Amino acid sequence: MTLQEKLDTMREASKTRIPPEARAVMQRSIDDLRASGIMTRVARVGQTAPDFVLPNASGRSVSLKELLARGPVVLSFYRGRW
Amino acid sequence: MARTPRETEEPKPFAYEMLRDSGNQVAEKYGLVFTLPDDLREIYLKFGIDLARGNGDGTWRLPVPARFVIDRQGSIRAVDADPDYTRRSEPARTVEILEGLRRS
Repeated sequence: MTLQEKLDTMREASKTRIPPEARAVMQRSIDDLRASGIMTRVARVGQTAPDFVLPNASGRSVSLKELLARGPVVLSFYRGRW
Repeated sequence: MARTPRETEEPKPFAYEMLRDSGNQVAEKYGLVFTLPDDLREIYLKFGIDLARGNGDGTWRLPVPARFVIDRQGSIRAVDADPDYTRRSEPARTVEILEGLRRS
C-alpha cells in the first residue's frame, strides 16, 4: 500500500469523527491557501538550497552543509503531533 | 544469551536527523510558511490543539508539508509540496529520485 492510500483511508475515517461544519472550514482553508499563491514562493528545482543550522533530537546543532558532505539530502517539512 | 554488538551500543532512535525548526525559520527560507485563519484556529482549539502553545512562539504558523531532494552540490533537484496536508510525498518516489542521482 502506498503512503497516499493509507492517508486516503485516514481521511475517510476522519469524516465520521469531524462534524461537517468543521470539515467545511478545514477544506476552505486548504483552498484559500492554494489560492493565496504560496506555491509560487516555494524554493524551486535548480535553486541552491538555503543553508541552515538546527538542533537535532539530541540537541546537537546540525547544518545542511555537514549533511551534504555525507551525500544527497532529503529534507522533509511536516506538521502533526506524535 | 550473548548480546549482539548492536544491543551494547548507545540507543539510536532514528536513522535520520530529526531537526527542530523553532519559529519556522528554516521553513520561512524555503517559502513554506502560512498563518492559520481564525475560524480554523477555533476548530483546532476545540480539538484540543493549541498550535500557538505547541509552536512555543505564540504564532499560529505552519509549514506547507514539503519534501526537497538536494544534491551534493547543494542544488535542489526535486520539490514536492502541497497545501493539502492530507497529501504527502510518496517515499517510493523519493527513493527513485535518489537512485537517479546516484546514477548521474
